[in-house]
Amino acid sequence: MTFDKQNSQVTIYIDDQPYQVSTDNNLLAGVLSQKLNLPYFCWHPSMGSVGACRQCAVTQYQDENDQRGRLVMACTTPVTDGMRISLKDSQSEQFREQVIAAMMTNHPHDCPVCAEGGECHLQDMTVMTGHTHRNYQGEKRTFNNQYLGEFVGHEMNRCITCYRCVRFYKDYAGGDDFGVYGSKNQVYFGRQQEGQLESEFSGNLVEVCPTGVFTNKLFSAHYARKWDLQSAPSICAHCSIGCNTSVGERYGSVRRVMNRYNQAINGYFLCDRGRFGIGFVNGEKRLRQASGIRQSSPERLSKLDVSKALVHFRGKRFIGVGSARASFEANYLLKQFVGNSKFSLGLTERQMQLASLHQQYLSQYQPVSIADIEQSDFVLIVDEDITQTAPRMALAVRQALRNASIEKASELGVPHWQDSAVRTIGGQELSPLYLIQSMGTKLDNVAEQVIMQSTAATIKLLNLMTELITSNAPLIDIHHQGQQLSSLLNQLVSAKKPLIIGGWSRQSPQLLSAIMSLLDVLTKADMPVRSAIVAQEVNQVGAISLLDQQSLSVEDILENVKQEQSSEVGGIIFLEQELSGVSQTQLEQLKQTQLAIIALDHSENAVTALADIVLPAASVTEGDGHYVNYQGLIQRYYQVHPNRLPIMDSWRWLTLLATTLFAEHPLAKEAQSLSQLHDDCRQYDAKWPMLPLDDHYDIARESHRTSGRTSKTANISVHEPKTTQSTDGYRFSMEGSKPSSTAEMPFTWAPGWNSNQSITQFQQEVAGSLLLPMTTQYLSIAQSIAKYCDHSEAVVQTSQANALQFSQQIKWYQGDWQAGLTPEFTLIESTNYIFLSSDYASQQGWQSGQWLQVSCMSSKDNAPTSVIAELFFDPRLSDELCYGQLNELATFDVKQVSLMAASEKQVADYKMRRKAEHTKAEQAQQYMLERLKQQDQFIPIRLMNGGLDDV
Amino acid sequence: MLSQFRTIWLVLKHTFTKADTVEYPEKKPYLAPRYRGRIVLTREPDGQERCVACNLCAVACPVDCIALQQTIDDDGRKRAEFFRINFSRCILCGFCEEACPTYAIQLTPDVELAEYDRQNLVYEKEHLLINGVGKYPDYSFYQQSGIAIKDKAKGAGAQEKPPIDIKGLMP
Ligand code: SF4
Ligand code: SF4
Ligand code: SF4
Ligand code: SF4
Ligand code: FES
Repeated sequence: MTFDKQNSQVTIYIDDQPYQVSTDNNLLAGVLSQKLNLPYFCWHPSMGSVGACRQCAVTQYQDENDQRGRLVMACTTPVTDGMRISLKDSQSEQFREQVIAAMMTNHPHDCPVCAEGGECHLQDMTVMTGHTHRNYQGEKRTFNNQYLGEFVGHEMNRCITCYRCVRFYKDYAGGDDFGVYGSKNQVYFGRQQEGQLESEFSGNLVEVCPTGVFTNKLFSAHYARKWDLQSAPSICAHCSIGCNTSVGERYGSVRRVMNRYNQAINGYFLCDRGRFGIGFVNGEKRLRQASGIRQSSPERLSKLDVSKALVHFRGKRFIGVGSARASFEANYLLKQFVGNSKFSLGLTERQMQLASLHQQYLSQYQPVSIADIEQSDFVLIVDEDITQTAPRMALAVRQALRNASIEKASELGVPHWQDSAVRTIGGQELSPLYLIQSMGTKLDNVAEQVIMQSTAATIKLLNLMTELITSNAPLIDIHHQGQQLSSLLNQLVSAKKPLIIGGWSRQSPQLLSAIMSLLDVLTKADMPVRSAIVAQEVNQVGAISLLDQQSLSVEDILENVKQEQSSEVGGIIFLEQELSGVSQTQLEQLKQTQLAIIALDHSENAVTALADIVLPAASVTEGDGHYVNYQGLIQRYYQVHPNRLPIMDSWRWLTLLATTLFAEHPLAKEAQSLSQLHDDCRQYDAKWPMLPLDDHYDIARESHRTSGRTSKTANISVHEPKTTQSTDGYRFSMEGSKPSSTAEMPFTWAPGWNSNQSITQFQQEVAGSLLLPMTTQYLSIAQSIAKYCDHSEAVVQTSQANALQFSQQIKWYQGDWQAGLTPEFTLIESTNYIFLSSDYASQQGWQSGQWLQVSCMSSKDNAPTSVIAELFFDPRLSDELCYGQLNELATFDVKQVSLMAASEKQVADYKMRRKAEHTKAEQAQQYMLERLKQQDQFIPIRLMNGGLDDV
Repeated sequence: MLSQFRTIWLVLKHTFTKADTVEYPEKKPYLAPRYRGRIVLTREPDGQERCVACNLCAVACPVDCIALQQTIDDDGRKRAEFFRINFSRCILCGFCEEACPTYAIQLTPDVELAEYDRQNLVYEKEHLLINGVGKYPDYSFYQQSGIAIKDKAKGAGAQEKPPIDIKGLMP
């Protein structure tokens, strides 16, 4: 919600007690901010009020002498100075109880089989109003459910018609395949037809709906009550936004991801990649044993085994290849151990240029936070489909567009929180969003102008804009290749809070450089421009901050490998690196080398397949470390459950390797905990970021009502094991300080508030910052790779007859390698499609819906040369441009394609192959579930949560 | 003197009165049906497992000696994948029975829970499940709940109207 805070506190009297309440929000928010209990359903801290449920009634009195008062809905009542209300009077109490009683007439007797039970807002509110007995004896209304896809379950009987779902899905997140149908007692919330929910925010329905209508299907399949989950604060490992999550585990396997409130980043909402993409940590591809090391005892791998396996490399130099998904600590250690001149991130030459520019960008600008994006009054997005590469950011942009109508409403005296009134007044009015891009995106229909053109043309256009602004020329009637630019330019220079967003996904250094030149002139002209550059992976910013002039690119490494005889290099260490930027032949080269290859990773991939020694690394849920988000914000993720040895954090592996391989290095000693590692690094390197690692806490990861403690391992031994000792400030136990002892709460719970909506109890005011401060430490990034110079190479010339420029659409569920390991994401993969200009297609005599054979010229040699795709038209495209989704080519950098009609047989083959893939993914999902259920009964017992020999 | 005679008289008298001691285990005492002894999992009148693996018994248990995992079977019913009670911890308080919304878990008057090896006091689902309804002859949770299972469609439960036709035009 966006609004200018006046932050005027006034005194109001609640049950004759004075309270200081802000007038910026409604009375309900004011009451809740005082940590008083007032039931509600339809109001949402981020979505405002509509007054639909009538649950938040309070009695308002004229003055001290008024004895009768009148009922008002707190959520639609503004806060005024000196107002007197009562929550405890019998009139409003009875009213609230009766509202629940009415809802309960149709609410089914489902709690025991309802996945919401135990964290149900309806249960909480029912108890809060004191409605303890069902009086209604008549028949209940029922509904049939819909199949809403792989992620969200539907049980419509439980609906209490609060309208939150549809308000979130359509109004807040801009989805259009979900709605409300029917009237009176028959109101139905669902899709027009059964099918996968299309919004990439559908998972929020699970949290937004106060009842169990929408449930997390993946969680329900292997279910545990909230009170039984062992949780830890974590960071979503899927994109560079770094949304805060709370991950829950039971019986040794990770069960689900929930939103963890962080006002500056994700607020109340996550995207579906973050919520449903956690399956990879339980996946079939997980590495659970070391390979290439002789184990002296059959039970377990010991430190001695590891050093024995490595001892003959002592004194040799190693190349270290870090990655953007490994923790900051691991990347740092790797660089220190192998030395600057042997460190790499597995980036190609071109990506190194991007990295250099990104370093330069971060050293000059502070990217805006997601919360600040919502304040923008002008947004320009340059050739980056943030709806798919950084979905949470796109959601914030949508909110920014509402600022125009909020302002219009406030001129009429309607406050921002009156949601439906603001939407009625605002109508279609949106703050300006401009998109310059080479493909269609989900933001197109809310944009003021969409300029659809190739990336090369966009670079020219940006340069033109830069020139125009530098020259201070009048910005009237400016055209560029048939596109009117005047309004874009005028609004950009006149906006109070303009925002420019770009990113890595086009893999074009020229584009990034053009964006930065534009930012430069705007900044020099003292304009209040703000910006964000979206990186590709979770810790990309942290990783590239370590690059310097000597760092190696993939090409350099291969060069090194070729000259292996002459060099002093003994091997390569790959740190959570799958080398997706490398071709099959290059991998082949690596395979043939005599160099020792040591791979640390959590799941199998091309690199672990060719490595001599593979060491199983912890994934985000069993690891401990920091990720650096797109802003440079350093955020910590904690272990959700103890890792099963020999799986260990990469930084533990690296220090262990170093004790043998790099024994002279000052950091080559095993750290017992992350904070000890930080102490060591701080002593070693003055520039090491000072992070307060508050490991003196003793917070319970489990709820105080966790069940089964004396029984869950009783099948293995009736003697209960000691709880695993930990060193990170959180205990693997139900005993310890309460979760709210820190801002990084493992889960949210407050007395009487079992659902995630209990977060209100821990905020300074509703939707404000948390009572306890979050650590907000930014990484200081200096430009340490030489300034990028424009070689003007990549504007590829058409080298093939009738070739078209192609832009690949990467869907949110394909965005990173880890997401690809989640079987559920394979299930929802759409068929290949390609968008063409209708002119071009009609010249060729092609129809929409026809299948084409797409032949591509790829920069990598192992890409399939031709794939089949369904044709659609996009009238905004020029004749030489096309875009689409070609799944087989998702990881390849395809810039040009040529097209011809596909034969029926090709299409039939394609459909058959897809069906087979689908069945395979379904089986994989089934198999994984069965394996996890078997594993439930064999919880590994550990006494000390440390390194290899701490069993 | 007198008191000694009185003592002898009382001793002799007791020789002919009925003893209070019960000859356990040859003779079993009467325990009421609601006596709180060994725990069982019961079935619905039609023989289906009653337990829906809702975890309420487990959370109510003051010594945390119940552990279970829910699973959803192909017939739409939720059942316990595993269900374990550690009787070496159980204090037979009966809270689980009170918490159970389906009458699945019940305490029985069998109190003979002694073993030489504590490990043998760990009961799994197959040891707990009996072939009967226990103390509640005719309760079937799924008939009361709103969810559909095999052989019971939406709206077919007790006190339910048939499902609403959402395509209907009537107000
Ligand atoms: S929505 Fe809440 S109250 Fe309704 S059945 Fe589910 S848990 Fe119970
Ligand atoms: S489905 Fe849930 S969110 Fe939607 S109206 Fe019903 S109760 Fe409210
Ligand atoms: S994928 Fe990105 S936007 Fe989505 S939840 Fe994760 S960090 Fe947030
Ligand atoms: S409370 Fe009853 S239904 Fe629920 S898990 Fe326990 S025995 Fe099963
Ligand atoms: S919360 Fe106020 S009417 Fe629904």
